[in-house]
Amino acid sequence: MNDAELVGRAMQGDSAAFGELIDRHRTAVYRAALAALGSPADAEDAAQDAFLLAFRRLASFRGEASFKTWLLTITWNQAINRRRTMTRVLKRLIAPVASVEPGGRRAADASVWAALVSNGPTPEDAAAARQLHGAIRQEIQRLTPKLRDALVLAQSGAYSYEEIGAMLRAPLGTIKWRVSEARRVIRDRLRQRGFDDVERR
Amino acid sequence: MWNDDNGLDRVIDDVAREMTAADPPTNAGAFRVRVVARLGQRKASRAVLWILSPIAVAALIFIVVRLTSDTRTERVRLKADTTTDTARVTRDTTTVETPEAHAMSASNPSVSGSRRTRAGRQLANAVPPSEVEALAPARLTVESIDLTAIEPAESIRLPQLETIAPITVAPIGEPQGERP
Repeated sequence: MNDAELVGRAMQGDSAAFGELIDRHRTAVYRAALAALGSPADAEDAAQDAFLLAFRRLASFRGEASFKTWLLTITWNQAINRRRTMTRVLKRLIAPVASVEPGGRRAADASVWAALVSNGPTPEDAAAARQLHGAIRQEIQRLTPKLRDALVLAQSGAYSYEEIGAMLRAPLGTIKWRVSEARRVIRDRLRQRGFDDVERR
Repeated sequence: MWNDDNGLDRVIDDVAREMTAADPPTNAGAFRVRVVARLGQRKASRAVLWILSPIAVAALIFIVVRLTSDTRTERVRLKADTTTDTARVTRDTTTVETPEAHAMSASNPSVSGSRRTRAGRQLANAVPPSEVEALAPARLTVESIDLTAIEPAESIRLPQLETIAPITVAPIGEPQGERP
């Protein structure tokens, strides 16, 4: 039974049909909420709220887009509303990078970069990789919401660009540009933190 | 590990993917149960609202009516306090029964009866009888004032007046001299 048939049965009050829709799309819904909120607990709540809202709005589902796209759009709007009202989430997203050494962040990042570009599988490599991943994560979180949302949703692998465009209410080309621009901004900021100097040695 | 932008982009994509790679913390069954339970709660709360809202409206109407009637009674009571003396005097004067009045009312019961019932109805509507009766002093009993009929006086006989001769007035002549 496809989504449209399940939606039709759910609209007639079949809770089991709606339960089947929940099972099918809960991971995609949860990940979209997680991309917007960054917190598993908040994403879980937002996902539940999204399904509740979708159930109430089932009558407004016209079938112009797929049920998944429609559901993801509701989820995204729900999560964005939650993100706007939750200042603690915003503070976590834009938290400043903590310095790791008295010598400064630039020196620390440069040492990590140097360890990564070397070929030897030293024990420091793993720690350096984790540190670089942390730096990239921080830079992703520092992005503007438009660039960050596009990048995270696109790289999640759970959504097509069309679905991302529906969620973010932007054309396909705009979504692709935002993903590319997000990468460029992160690269530039990493170089500003000293990675570029190491790379050119 | 990487020497160009593409290599770095791959790492960036990996990190971005990790940010949403997590599965929901609860398993599918628990998640569905929670959502369906919340749907049930919402339906139940709506049903309670449907049941309680008419009761709430009825209670509100009752309270408004009660407050309005209390306010009206208080207003009437205050008005009655200020006009008690006047009303009492009026009532006493109207209730003094002289033999003549009694005879008149006996001879024409419809007029006096309707007047009394109208006044009584107004009084009953204006003030609750029990409260007024409690405040009113004992009814005064006034003895009837017996008036003796005045005898007709003698007519004043005036003598007839004599006819007066008509007065003839001569026309005034031309004025002489200048005016001041």
